[in-house]
Formats: sequence, C-alpha cells, structure tokens
Amino acid sequence: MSSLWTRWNRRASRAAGVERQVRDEMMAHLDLRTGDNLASGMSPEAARRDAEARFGNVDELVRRGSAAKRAGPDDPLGRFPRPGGSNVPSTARGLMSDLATDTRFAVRMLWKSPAFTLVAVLSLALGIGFNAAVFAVIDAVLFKPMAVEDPGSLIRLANAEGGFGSMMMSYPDYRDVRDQAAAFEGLAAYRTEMTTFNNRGDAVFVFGESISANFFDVLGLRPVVGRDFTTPDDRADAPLTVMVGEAFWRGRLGADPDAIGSELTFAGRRYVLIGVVPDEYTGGTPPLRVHFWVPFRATDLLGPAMSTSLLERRGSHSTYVIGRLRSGTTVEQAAAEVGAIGANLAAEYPDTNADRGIAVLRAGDVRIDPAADQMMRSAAGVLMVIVALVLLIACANIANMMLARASVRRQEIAVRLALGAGRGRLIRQLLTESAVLSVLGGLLAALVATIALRGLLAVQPPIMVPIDLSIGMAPRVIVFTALVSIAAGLLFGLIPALRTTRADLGQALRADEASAGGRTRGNRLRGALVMVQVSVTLVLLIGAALLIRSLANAESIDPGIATGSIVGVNLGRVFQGYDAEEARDLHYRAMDRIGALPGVASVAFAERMPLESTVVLDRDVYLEGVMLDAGEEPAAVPAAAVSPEFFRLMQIPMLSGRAFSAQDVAESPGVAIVNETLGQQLWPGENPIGKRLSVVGEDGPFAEVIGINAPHKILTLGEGPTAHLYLPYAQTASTMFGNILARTDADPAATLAGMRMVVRELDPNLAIMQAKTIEQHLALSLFPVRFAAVALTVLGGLGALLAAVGVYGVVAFAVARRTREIGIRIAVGADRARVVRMVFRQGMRTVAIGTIIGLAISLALTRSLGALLYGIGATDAVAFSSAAVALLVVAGTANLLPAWRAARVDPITALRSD
Amino acid sequence: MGKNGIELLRGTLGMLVLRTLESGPLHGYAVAKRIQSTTDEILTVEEGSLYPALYRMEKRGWVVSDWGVTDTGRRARFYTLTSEGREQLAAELATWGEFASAVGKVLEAG
Repeated sequence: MSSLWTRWNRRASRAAGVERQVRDEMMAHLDLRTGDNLASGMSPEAARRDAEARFGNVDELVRRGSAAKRAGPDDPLGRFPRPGGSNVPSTARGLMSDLATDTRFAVRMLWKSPAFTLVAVLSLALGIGFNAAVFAVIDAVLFKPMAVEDPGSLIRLANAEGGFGSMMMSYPDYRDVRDQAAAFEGLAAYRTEMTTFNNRGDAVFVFGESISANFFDVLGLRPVVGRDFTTPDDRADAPLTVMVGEAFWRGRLGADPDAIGSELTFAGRRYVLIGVVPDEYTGGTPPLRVHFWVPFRATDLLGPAMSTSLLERRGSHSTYVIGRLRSGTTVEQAAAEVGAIGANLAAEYPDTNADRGIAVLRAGDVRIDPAADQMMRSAAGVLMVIVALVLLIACANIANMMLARASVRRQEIAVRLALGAGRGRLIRQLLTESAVLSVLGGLLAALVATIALRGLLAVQPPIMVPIDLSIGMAPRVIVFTALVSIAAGLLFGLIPALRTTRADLGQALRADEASAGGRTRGNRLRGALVMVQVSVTLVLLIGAALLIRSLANAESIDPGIATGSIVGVNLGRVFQGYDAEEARDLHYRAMDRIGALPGVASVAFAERMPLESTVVLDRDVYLEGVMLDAGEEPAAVPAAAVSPEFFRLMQIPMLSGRAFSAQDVAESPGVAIVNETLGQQLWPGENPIGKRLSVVGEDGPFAEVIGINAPHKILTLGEGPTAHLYLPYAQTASTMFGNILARTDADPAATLAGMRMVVRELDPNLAIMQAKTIEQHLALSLFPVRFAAVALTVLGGLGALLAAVGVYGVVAFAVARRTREIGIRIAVGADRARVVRMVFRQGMRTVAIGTIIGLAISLALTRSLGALLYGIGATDAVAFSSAAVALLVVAGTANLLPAWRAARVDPITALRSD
Repeated sequence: MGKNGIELLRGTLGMLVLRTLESGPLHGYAVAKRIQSTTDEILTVEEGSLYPALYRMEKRGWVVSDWGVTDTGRRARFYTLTSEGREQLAAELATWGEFASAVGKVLEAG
C-alpha cells in the first residue's frame, strides 16, 4: 500500500513540476510580446491585452501543453476535455467556453454509461413530473390570480364572524354598503346560479352568475364580442339580456359573431345575447367555471318560485361582493367605513343583522372563504409532501449513483487537483453533469406531468356537474418544474461533488484505499441515503396498504339497501318557476308515466337517496309535549320524504310497526318512520311506536311514529349507527329535491333512456342531473377512498421501484469495489454461500434500519387517513406488516442479485484486475 | 482563430516551425514572430498553440530545448533543431512539394 502511495505521490509532484515549467514558458512569451507592443507605442494595458488575445486561453493551453509534454497512450490525462472553438480570454468568454467544454464533457461521460443515465433521467422525470402535476392542480385551485385588471386593488366583503360561507351576504346589505361607502371606485355583486339551458329541446344544467350591472366594469373585463351590461339591463321592464362565456359561445353557438342579438332559453325564459366574456375569466367561485351571466334582477327567474324576491330578503345570504378600492384608499380605511355601515345595519335590522358585522378582505387572499381555504391549503400541503417524498427518493438514488461513479473517478480527480486544477473549477464540472441530468429529467418531467394531469382530470369526481379546472402546463407550472429540476440537481449533485473534490489529496487517496474495507464516510453516506429511501417508501406503501384494505372492507360493507335491477334519475332541485306544490305534482306525474314504461315493475320517489353524497337534508325535530328552553336548539336529524313504495323497492324492512301506505295522504293523520338509533336518541329506553314528533315547530302539526325501519347506511358506508327519519312525501312540504327510482326487468340502460324521455316530455326545460344504476350510485360513495388508494399505490410502487434500484446500486457498487477482497477470500477457501451471506447481510442491515424508521414515521402519520379508513384502525397490523414484507422482498431481491454475483467472482481474474 | 489571416492547414504548423528553427535556436515567441513576419502576417498562428506543437516535436526528438536568456534579458526556453528534425523537415518539404504541385495541376486543369 505504501509503495503505491509513494508512486502516486512521485507521479503527482512530477506532474506539478511539468505544469509549472509550461506556465513559465508561456508567461515569457506573453512578456516578450507585451514588450514589443510597448515598444511600438501601445499603452501598457493595450499591450498586455493584445498579447493575451494573440496567445489564447492560457489555462487551457497550459493544460494542453502539459498533456502534450507528458502524453502517452495510457496516461489518465488523455481523458481530459479538449477545448474547441474560440479561446478569447476575456473572463466572461472564458467562463462560457468552460461551460461549453464542461457540458460537452458531461454529455460524453453520461453517454458512456447509458444505464446510469437512463435510470437517473427516468427517476427524475417521474419524481419531478408528479410534483409538477400536483402543483398544477394546487396552483389552479389555490393560487392562480383572477384574470382581471389589477387584481391587487380588488377587495371582497365578508361576514365578520368568519366560518364556512362567510363570503356571502344578503343583496339588500350589498345595496346599502354600495350606496353609502365612499372607499370604493366600484362595488359589484354576484350570485352563483345553477339552472337549465335549453338547447333546441335538449335541456342541460349550466352554471352561471347573476351580476350587478357594473360587475365587468369593476373587474376591468371587456367582452370579446358584443357589449357589456349597463344599468338599463337591470331594470325590471327591460328585455332580459345575457352574456355567455367564450367556451359556451364556441361550443354551443359555433363561435358565430351573429349570435349576438339572438335569443337563448334559460330556465324556460328567453334572453337576448348581448356579449361574450373572455375565457380567461372563469367566474367568481373558482375552480368552478361558469358559462353565463345575467343582470341581478333575473336571479328570481332562474331558481324556484319564491314569495319574496331574493333582492329584498335581508336574511338570505347568497350574494358575493367584490369591489375596487379608490386609489389612495387603504384596506384598513375601507374596513373602518364598511364596519360602521355594518353596525348601523345591525341596529336598524336586528332580526337579520344583529350578529353580522361586515369585514373587508383583499380579494387575492380569498379563494372560497377563509375557513374552506384553510382546509384546502392543508390538503394541498399533505399532497405536496407526499409527492415531494417521491422526488426525495429519486434524488437520493441519483446522489447515490453519482457518489459511486465519483469514487471510481476519484483517482482522476485527485491527479487533477494535484496538477493544480482549482477545486471550484472541478466542482463546477461535476455539477455540470448533474445539471445536464436535471435538464433532461425536467424536460421529460413536463411530458410526465402532462400525462399525469390528463389522467388526474379524467377522473370525474362524484359531483353532479363537471367542474372545469382548466389545468394545463401553465407558465407558472413550467417555472415551478424548472425550479424543482434545478433544486433536485443541486440536491443530488452537490454532495458527491463536494465529497470527491476534497482538497487534501492524501486523504482522498487514503480514503480510496480504505474503501476496500467498506467502512468509509462515503459508504456511510450512501447507506444513509438508502435508509432514507427505504423509510420514505415504506410510509407510502403502508398508506397504500391501509387504503387497499379499507377499500376491500368498504366493498364488503352491507349498505342495507337493495342492489340489482334498480335505476334512478336525479332531478336535483326543480327550478324555473315551479313552486313546491308544482314540483310535487311534476314528481307524481313523472312516476305515473315511468311506471308505465315496459319492464318497470315498481316506481318510488325519494327526496334523498341513502348514501347520496351531494344532498344532505337535515330537519329540526320537535317532540310533542317538550318545550325547548330559551336558546336551546331542536335536534337536527337527517331526514328524507319518500313515497310509500320506497321501502319495498329498496328492500328496507320494518323491524316493527308498518311502512307508509297509499292511505297516508295530506289530509290523513301525520305519520313518520324512525330507525332504532333515532328512536333511542329521542325516547331513550322507550318504544318509539306511537310517540309523536314534528318537523315544523314545537306546536306541531305532529306526526305519529308508525314504524321502525331496519338499519341501513345513510351518509357514508363507513359510518356507525346514524339517526334517520322518514316522512311520507304526501304529507311533507316539498324541498323540490327529487330522485325517481324504478325496479326494472328490462335492460337498465333502456329503462334509463325511457325515464329521460318521460321527463323531457313533461317539461322540455327540465334537465336530469344524473341517471344511474344502484351499483353506480354505491360506487360513487367509495370514490374518495378508491382514488386515494390508487394514487398512493402508484406513488408507493414507484417509490419501491426507485428504492430497489438504489439498494441494488449501492450493493452492486460495494461488491465491485471489493472484488479483490472477495477474490482473496475465495482463493483462501471461503465458502461461496458464506460470501453471499456476508454481502447480503451487510446490504440488508441498511434496509432493516430504514424499515424500522419507516414504521415509526408511519405510526405517527397514518392517523391523518382517518376518514378514509373503513373497518380498520390507522395502525392496522396487517397493513403495516404486509407493506413492510413487500418492501423487504423487493429490497432483498435487489440485494441478492449482486450478492450472488459476488459469489461467482473468479479469484484469478479478481487478483489480476488491479 | 485568426481574424484576417489564413488559418494554417492542419499539420503544416510543424513544418513551418522546423523550417524557422533551421536558421538557429529560437524561443517560442521568436518562432511565432518570425512565421508571421516572413509571411507578411498572412499566416496567423494562435501563438499559444505553438507550445503543445513544440512539446510534441521535442517528444519525437526533432527538437531539443533548454532555458536561456533573450536579448532583452528575459528568461525563455530556446529550441534547437536536431539532426532527426532536419530529416523530418526534408521529408515534410518533399511531401508538401508534391501536394502543392498536385493542387496546382488540378487548378490549372480547371
């Protein structure tokens, strides 16, 4: 060993001497030329500059010169980059030519090890790609600023009490603030509307907004075609007018400029189209994209018929307010003024406004409302952490591979350091290699992200109306991708670069020697990176295992209702001017006709279906003879009005008492059906049958409990016993929500088509929100857990794959470095099986420690999956152990391959190899 | 490389250096200057690239070198043509002559 060290040392110092001589000679040349130049009358600076310009890049030429002086076919210097192109030695140009040289060199080095390059670029692309895709979604939902003029000076009014829905106020409150406040250049109002658009006999649901006439003025938006609303449009006697979004105009009106002035039918009324709103503006409630805008006075015409106009109801909070501050006015000044107006309103209208202060928020700080934003931000944080973990695994992998490669090149680097190459210069060159990798990875990541986004957006969440997130690789996403790529490149490139260029040549060479024993800092670092990979992967795999088990459990949960041969149409809420009685009449007529369809055995009505996720109808329940104390709230209970056939059709039996019958009509005594949970809640220890309750008030009218229905799931499949109340539709004030269910012997699709036809015949302006089989209905309620299970399984699988590559790489590298030692062991008679065991054991120790760390982290983290877990705890032993075993098998296989190869080392070859 | 001059044909630099050294020992700068002045600055050399060429020639034994002092008193390395170098120069001049006359014939035949 010492002779080798001396040999190196001698070689290195001789090399340094050569370089010094070359440099001296070139300096002489520069001095001589400078002298001649001075003699010919140049200024000293110009003389030197000219000499240098004629000479070329001195450093590069010293290198080339030394190389030429010592050149031999076996010399490691032969591997040095050769310069190309111009060598004009201005500093910036010199740096540029260094960069070009480094890049060419890096590309050549990467080209020479295609397997490494491929694995590195692919893992980076996947890691960065998933990050970019998730960021694109989060950016669109949470951060993308409104596409309007100067969004910074926009404010929004809010209920000072905060909480969910706090951005909505009443229209009269808006009108009063608008008329009294001086702080605003303009204050506009909008209200989200959902109604039907009748496209030549085919009615569809569309989202839109009722807006004050100054709305687009305040936002600074100009129509693409046509004109904007003006005050006369909001007058009660003016013709109804509408603006539509660019997407709507293209998709439904063929982008025809002549469509301006034509009539469009919304909620059964005709509106004159006056203008088209640019696509960049998606509406006031992102990520929902709205498609039409009408003046505020039309809001009453789009929804159900009401006794008082929404514009006059101070107790109805459904209007959003957005405004632009007068220049020079601060948010605080505006808040003070609006707060005072709010206080006056509270004094003037104590019934509706006593508890409502009015606050001013910067529009940029609010997405939905502060409470919902907080929830979305935490969800986004969890998502980002998960994908960042995957990227971390990928980076650890590449750092590991680079460390391995770097230690192979350590001799070359040590020689170059000895020759006087600057450490900074070498680090720059090594980092260039990382940069080339991360640029390639980043480019491919953009493709991965695009595909991942397409996949993600193809998943239709279980809501009735598709949400248009219009997410793509926006400039911000591309910038994000680039930044992540750079960060990743630094992350996996810097440590290897710093380690391998350590200035102390002796240490570098000694460390190199020592690594044959397998216990150097480099190996420890590589081991630590594998531990990180293994533990992070295990966390993802355990999450996936929990969700897969949860999904299996959930699918085996008995929902307590019939499955098979049942189809239903969801009419949502019946709009366009129907009042409650007209809606009920419509429901009955639809049921009659659907009952006459071929193959339909029975028909039932349900205001809300069990497990319907988008509608929850709670009703206040009062008990006969129980007066509430002042300030005491009645019990709010999930309830649904149903027709008598409902229980038989859905196969929900009565545990005692009877179901509703055709004799339970509006004029007959009130009846109700409770489940056992509600019975015990309302009348603990007593038989509920014969008790009386009211959903109207403490003075009744009361309904008698006539039956107790068998338990079934109400809100979610995973719920425990949940209270529920059934009321006969004939005796209940209609909410205008409605599902019509049919048991059919015919093809479900044919029956659904027939049901659609019936509804269209009854009212061509009525749209069907959803038409589905009972199986589709149940599948929707499992959507969140299924989605999460698929997502975590994909990410966990990817992590496991990357970790396997990491384990394999580190062990294979260790074996390669120890070939000689292993050869000696085998030569002196070591058992080959023992060699396998030795290598395997050393590799698995790292994996085992990583596994333990991963288990510990998971124990702390999986609680957050709570709501998605059906029938298992967050620390389910089966999920934990199966994930750990799966990871150990994968890591073990990755470990066994090189261990097995180590055992086949031929001692003769191994000893000769150095 | 050169802004105005003609770039040297690959491989001809060695021949020019050997030819220049025929008249006696010179240091690198003098070689560069002599090549430029005798060709009226038509041929330009990136002066630094002269040295790797010189070192290669020294390795092959065509020149030998040692430190000396210039007229202006600056320490510099002087190169002297060896007999092997003279032989090499003769060989290269012959090849060049053949090459030049061949090119000439083609051009005249044009």
